[in-house]
Amino acid sequence: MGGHLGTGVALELDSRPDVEVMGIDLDPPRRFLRNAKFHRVQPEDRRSTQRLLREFEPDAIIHLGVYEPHARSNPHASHDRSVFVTEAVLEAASKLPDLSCIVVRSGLEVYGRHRGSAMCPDESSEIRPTTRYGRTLAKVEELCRDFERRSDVPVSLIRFAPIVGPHIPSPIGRYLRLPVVPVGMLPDQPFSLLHSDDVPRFVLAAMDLCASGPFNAVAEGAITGSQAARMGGKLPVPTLGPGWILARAITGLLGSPLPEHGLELLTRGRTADSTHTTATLGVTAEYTTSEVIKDLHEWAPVSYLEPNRAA
Amino acid sequence: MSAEDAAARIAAKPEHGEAGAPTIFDAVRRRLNGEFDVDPWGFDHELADMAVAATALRWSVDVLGGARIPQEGPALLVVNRRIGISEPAVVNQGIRRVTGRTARVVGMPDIPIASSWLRRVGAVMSDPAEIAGLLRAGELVMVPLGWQPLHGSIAGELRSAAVQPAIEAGTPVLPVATFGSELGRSWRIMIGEPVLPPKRASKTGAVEFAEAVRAGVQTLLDNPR
Repeated sequence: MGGHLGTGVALELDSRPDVEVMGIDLDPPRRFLRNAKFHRVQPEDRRSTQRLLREFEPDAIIHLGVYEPHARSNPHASHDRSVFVTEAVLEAASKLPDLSCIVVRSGLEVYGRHRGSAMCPDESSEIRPTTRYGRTLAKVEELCRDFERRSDVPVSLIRFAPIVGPHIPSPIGRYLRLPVVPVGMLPDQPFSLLHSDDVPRFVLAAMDLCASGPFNAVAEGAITGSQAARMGGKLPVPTLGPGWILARAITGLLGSPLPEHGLELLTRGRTADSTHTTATLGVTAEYTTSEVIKDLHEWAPVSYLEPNRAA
Repeated sequence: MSAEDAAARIAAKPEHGEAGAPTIFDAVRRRLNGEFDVDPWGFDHELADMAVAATALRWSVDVLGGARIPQEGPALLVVNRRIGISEPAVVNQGIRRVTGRTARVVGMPDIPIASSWLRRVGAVMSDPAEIAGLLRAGELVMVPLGWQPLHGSIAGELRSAAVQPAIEAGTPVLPVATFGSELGRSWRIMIGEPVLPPKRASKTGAVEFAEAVRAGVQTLLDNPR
């Protein structure tokens, strides 16, 4: 509930008159929530997580605590933290007799981009992650599938395209706003994104339907890195092989480190087929991928106010 | 589509064009600003238009049975080939002339940089998942038969995996025969009656269906008009 995605979902649930919401996170919610309760819990504090869930006895659990490297978490901690928190939630969920469903955040990175793999996989495509974040998501999904088999509680795995939006810490969003953007060798491969405002639509549809299985959540259309840079008046620099070592070092120094899965997105592309999601959940993203990029470039730059002027 | 038509279409792309007579400079400006469309399979419509403009200068294509190609919605086209260099471009030139659409050509190797360029003009890999996704998206998909470099009048092999997505989607398959040679200028393409897929997607059914489609191409090759 403390991140932008959790707050967005909680806001939507908070506006429903017949729903009681309880959130657990390390950080407090980013918006005022009229009725929802929030508990600040360290990710390592498994006992508190389980106690709170047992006391609240929820009908549904929305688990968005899957950490993307270089978003809110460093790459070394993101895997362990994501797996640890997922295990804690599922362990607590196994002791809730009235639980009807769980919705879990996953991502398109879980498919991987091996040579010869399909450019636009659907939910039936094989899971063969090729990056650290992809392997984290695969592990989270494996834990969820095991839980579903044991408990018969349906688990929705929402495989989000890279999420970009005005207030969400997104490594690819930060990267594409650099004045000079290293991109894959031209012509570079296409990728799809998802606006952070669209995330609650998919999560809540999955929860309302108690849907089981994976669902690709992708904005319509695709874009390439060089297109995305040009649309914002940035300079795309085609980069190849060892050139990426230098490019990643420089962009890291500029405050926009490019994680492994971000590099894969730029050089190998990342799109997916969301036909199954539209047919089953009945939702599509409101923003197209191009609109997500336009929104990205229209954000005002951060300007620091002097303390006396701010007051 | 003639070279002139294709050039006009490049300059006049409606969703990005400004008011007034569009020029080639508008097309260049759009590309410099990144305001062109690339679909999730990497296809760039404007670039494909340019490719058609180039191939229209190289080949003259006569199309028989063009009305059988749907103006919209999915279809799988199964095409014979000798060496297979010219046929995909020739067939696409014919399809573009009668429908204004581009068929995605199956069989691209996944090689860095080269595959990106091939995807831009409509090539995709020989992966059933790619074919299935394109059919779901309502695209025309072209599957070349096995090579027949010495016997152009014999329809090559067709793997059942290539037609399995059409069976699952219930999409009709059109046999297509090409007549011409790599170094020649004139080509003729014949589009046969659609072969309807079986209702059940069994393995045996897919093999029989693939053989029926291959036989459809062979019939066209045996009866050139």
